[in-house]
Amino acid sequence: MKTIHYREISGRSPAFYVFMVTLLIFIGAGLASAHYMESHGHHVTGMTNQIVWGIPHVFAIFMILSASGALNVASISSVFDRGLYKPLARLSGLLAITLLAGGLSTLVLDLGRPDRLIVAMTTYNFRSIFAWNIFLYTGFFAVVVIYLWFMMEPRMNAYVKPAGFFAFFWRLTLTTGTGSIFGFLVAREAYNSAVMAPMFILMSFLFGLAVFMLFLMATFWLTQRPLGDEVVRRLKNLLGVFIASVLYFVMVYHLTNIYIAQRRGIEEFILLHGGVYTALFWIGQILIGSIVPLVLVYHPWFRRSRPLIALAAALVVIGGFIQLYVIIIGGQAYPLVLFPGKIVSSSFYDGVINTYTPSVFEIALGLGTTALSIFLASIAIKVLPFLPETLADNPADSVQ
Amino acid sequence: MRLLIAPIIVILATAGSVYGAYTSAKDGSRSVPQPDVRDAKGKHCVQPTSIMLRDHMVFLLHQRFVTVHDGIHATRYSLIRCVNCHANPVTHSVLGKNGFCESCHTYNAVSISCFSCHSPSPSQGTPGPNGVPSGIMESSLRPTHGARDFGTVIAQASVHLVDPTGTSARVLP
Amino acid sequence: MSINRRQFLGAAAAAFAATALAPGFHLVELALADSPEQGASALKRWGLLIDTAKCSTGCDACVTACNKANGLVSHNRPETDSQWIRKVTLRGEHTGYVQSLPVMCQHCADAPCVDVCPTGASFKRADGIVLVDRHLCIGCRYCMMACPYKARSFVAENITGQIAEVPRGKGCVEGCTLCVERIDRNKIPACVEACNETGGKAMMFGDLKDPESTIAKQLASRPSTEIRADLDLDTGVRYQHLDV
Repeated sequence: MKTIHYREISGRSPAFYVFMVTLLIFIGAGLASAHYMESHGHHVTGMTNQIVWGIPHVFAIFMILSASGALNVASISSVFDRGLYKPLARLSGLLAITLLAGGLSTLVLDLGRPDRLIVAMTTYNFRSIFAWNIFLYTGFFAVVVIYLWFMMEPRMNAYVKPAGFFAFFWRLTLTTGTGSIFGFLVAREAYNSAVMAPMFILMSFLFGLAVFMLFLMATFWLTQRPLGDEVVRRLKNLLGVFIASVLYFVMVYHLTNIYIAQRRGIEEFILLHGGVYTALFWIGQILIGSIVPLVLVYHPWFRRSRPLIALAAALVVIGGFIQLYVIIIGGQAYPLVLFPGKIVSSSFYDGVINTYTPSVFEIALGLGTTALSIFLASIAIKVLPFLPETLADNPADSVQ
Repeated sequence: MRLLIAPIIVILATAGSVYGAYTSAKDGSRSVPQPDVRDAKGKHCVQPTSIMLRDHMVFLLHQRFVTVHDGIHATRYSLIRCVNCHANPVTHSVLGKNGFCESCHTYNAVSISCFSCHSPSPSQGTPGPNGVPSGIMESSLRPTHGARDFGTVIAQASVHLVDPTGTSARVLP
Repeated sequence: MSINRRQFLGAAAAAFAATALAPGFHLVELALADSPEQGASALKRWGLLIDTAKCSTGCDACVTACNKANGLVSHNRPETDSQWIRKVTLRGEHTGYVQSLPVMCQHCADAPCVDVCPTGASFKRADGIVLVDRHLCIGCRYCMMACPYKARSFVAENITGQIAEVPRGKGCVEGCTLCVERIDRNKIPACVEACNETGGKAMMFGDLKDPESTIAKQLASRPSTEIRADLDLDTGVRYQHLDV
């Protein structure tokens, strides 16, 4: 088996510095927004007592899901012994860490009392899936860092496989935890479902892979390193499988809910007459996020074009973001049902479809933490050898 | 390296003392605003000043758990009672430049988060002895179990003590 | 003063605990410490009984009293203003029957907010009152997602002029406390008091565990229900004549 050479990117071109400064501007704007929201209170955001989680949570959960999904490529190489993916494993672990850092900082900066983070780190209620997640997320950092160390330190290479197994197990648990944040909400018809956890796992596979592909293709193109067709073809086919799997879970989720008479209201709201949420579901999530990328990935007219494959991955990212928007915001927009079979009204928005308009601060926070993820990953590939020098096709791989 | 550090420390220390001497000469008095901790309506605090200075946060931390979780209100380290006694007579607050809490906390550069939720002003109602409104006095509302007068220990004879440790406070089901 | 052996042992144990746990206390005070029955007791469970038949659509005496007692001031931003209690009007979709009732924290025995809170800030006191410990609340709002009754509000702006006995501030979640600071001083919740004075006398407060209490007798003699009884949360707030 041929040796893989890894090398840092040079990172000395003006374009690189312009890129990094741009990211820093976004990060600065995000931090300034967080400070503004904290010092004025959340009334300056679009979030209310009805829509309690807003677009920061969409950003956060998208990044947390992508983080565990990004690790998949490494898992495929160490757990399932696919040699083709081995050169990609380091980058996979790196993105897992930086995406999780971005996602968690979004969550923390949106807290009502971010200054009390130490309370969240020292006082636990172990009946809470949130408390479990604090351990799962921080543990994930540690597990992946060790996994990366085993991969990058030749003397530790022998232990890569058990570390990979453990990391794979951990990330499945982590995403189960993320899905269960919603799945365990007994009172909310849009969320209370056991299918949430496996659906979130598949969503993480998909989003993580799409983000990974975009980052890989961009860095290889910008650093002019060779990227073989075979690697791209494999990743692209995997993307197609994941898109179809997520669609399957979305279908099961909605069919189950339609069958339960009590939940017909929420289903009709999302699927038929929920205005912006219905449009986002059908056009954003299903058409742009699923159907179009599936066609781009599998149709013989498109499937060889590198830019179109990148477009498919980008559409998956957009569609995934929209999917989480529909789940998180749409699920809260439909009113909580306290009195089935009654038409209710009150001063507290009972029985009313709730409205949500994200404020510029929330969006800036989300973009800032996204920029943070990319910034950290870009620094890391500059200072440490994460990227292989070449991913040119190896004739041996294609017959594997 | 060590050769460099030593002169830097000497230079910084000299500069600091020169600056300090200069500013105090300019002010004619103190260079740093002193805390204003004179406000107090009662004769004695619930503990000697030396203990309160050092441990008031410990008492309050303990008290807050006992009050919020166990529902025990009238122990001696109640924040409401601190405020009632120590509020500035002009501003009616423990905050502000001359406020009892804020002036000292500013002086020591320690932030206080109590008053983002707690009222920094005395509670409404008729002030009882030592500024405690009689309306919230435990002893006036509850049957007292062995309330006793500690005239010399605390000035407020009408306040009875609940187990200050709180260790026996919870009634087991 | 005479102490028997039992009392002496108790005091000695307390004094020992105090020296171990809290240096700085005077032992002499400990020996004379008060009896512990003053705190929230698990022998009680506070609850409300609301008779929907007596609650009229136009009356909001309970809401006004709650706002006054707890210092809830509107910032003219209805979507983020805190509401601990609200009047809800119901009309039967198939029957057209109209009723009005107050809804607040239902003080569940198995409260979803307590289960989901990561820091334990949402908790249930020994006497069944569900509260938020604002010292521990980090403002994640997971409890608001979990509450089936929409009973909680998030403080979305800086607050001044709090009532001393009801601390509240920006960045924490809050909700009906059953006027815990009044209960602890042997007073009934402000909403119940107002309903009985100027409202329809529809609200009753008392100890659900005491079979001799008026509320327990009332519950034992007539049908009552909880909101979202399907969730089986064993609420401390129950309703009579509620057509659900």
